[in-house]
Amino acid sequence: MSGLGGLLHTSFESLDRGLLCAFVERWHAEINNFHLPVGEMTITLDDLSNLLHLSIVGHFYTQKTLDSDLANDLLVESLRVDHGLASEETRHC
Amino acid sequence: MCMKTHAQGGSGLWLSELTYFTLSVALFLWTRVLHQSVFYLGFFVDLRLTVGYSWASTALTHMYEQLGDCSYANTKKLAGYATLLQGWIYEHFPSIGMRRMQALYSEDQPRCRLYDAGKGTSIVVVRPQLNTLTPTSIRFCPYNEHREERPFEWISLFCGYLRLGNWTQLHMSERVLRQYEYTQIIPCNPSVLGHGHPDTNEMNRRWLHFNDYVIHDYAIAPYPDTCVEEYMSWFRSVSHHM
Repeated sequence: MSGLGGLLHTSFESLDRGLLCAFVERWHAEINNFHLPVGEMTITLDDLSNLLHLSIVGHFYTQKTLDSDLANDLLVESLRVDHGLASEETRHC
Repeated sequence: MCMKTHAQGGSGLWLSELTYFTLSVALFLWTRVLHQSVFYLGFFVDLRLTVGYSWASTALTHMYEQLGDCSYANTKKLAGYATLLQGWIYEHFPSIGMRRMQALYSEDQPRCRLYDAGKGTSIVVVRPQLNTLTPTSIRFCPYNEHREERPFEWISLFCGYLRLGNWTQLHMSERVLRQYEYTQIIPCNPSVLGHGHPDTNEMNRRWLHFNDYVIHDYAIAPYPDTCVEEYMSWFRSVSHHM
């Protein structure tokens, strides 16, 4: 129902640290792309649609403001976290 | 604390949906979930809204954010959903890195499932491979055989801010036109593409009226790596690595 079901089966069993780091070194944060000898390339919305089957169309995700009471309730009632542990975790919310 | 380990037991639609959703989203929020789990609970409060979200822009904003954090000199770790970056590399750079192809893959599955990680590659091996990349060794637009499953959408050419909660990141398709089978031009300055830094409402409005922020008159590239004549000299003049 969330549109994220495909993600349950896409994760690689292992990550190639050397490969990832070599690309990360080429990242330019101010323009969000990799500088390569052939010019600029980047991960685009179209890549997300094809690689992970995520929907491009739709609203931007907006995060609900979370106070410590609501966070506590969610942890205890929905995720079955021990009350004491939940209080400890949400103390700094 | 890790939410995944606590998302078990109980009954009722709310819990099962929350569990499913948590597992899904945690995949690309994973590293942060481990350390800031309570912060991320805010994303799970009203699940009825989830089906209408642009998950592609959510995931991409998160990826750009993490890659940006990695650009700081003292950063040692990359957070986020690294499968996305690794899959992207596999798709676009067939000559770099070791990967296994999945024999049972069919095009109705996400393209990441075409691959599995092979033996790891040393960074000292990859660096010279990147330094000597040629246009013909790159698949700028690798998804032609996948278009029946995921048709091209004009909104993917959107130039402007993507948003995930309070995080905002520029999607600058104009800088990577070859990935859309267009001839690469010398791009605008990022501040022009972003049209200043709009507030949240204005960002939402531009996204929903994306047609005004997609340029329609780019030239189709005769070859996958076509760029205007001045592009490479411009690029060499602005790039720190060349």
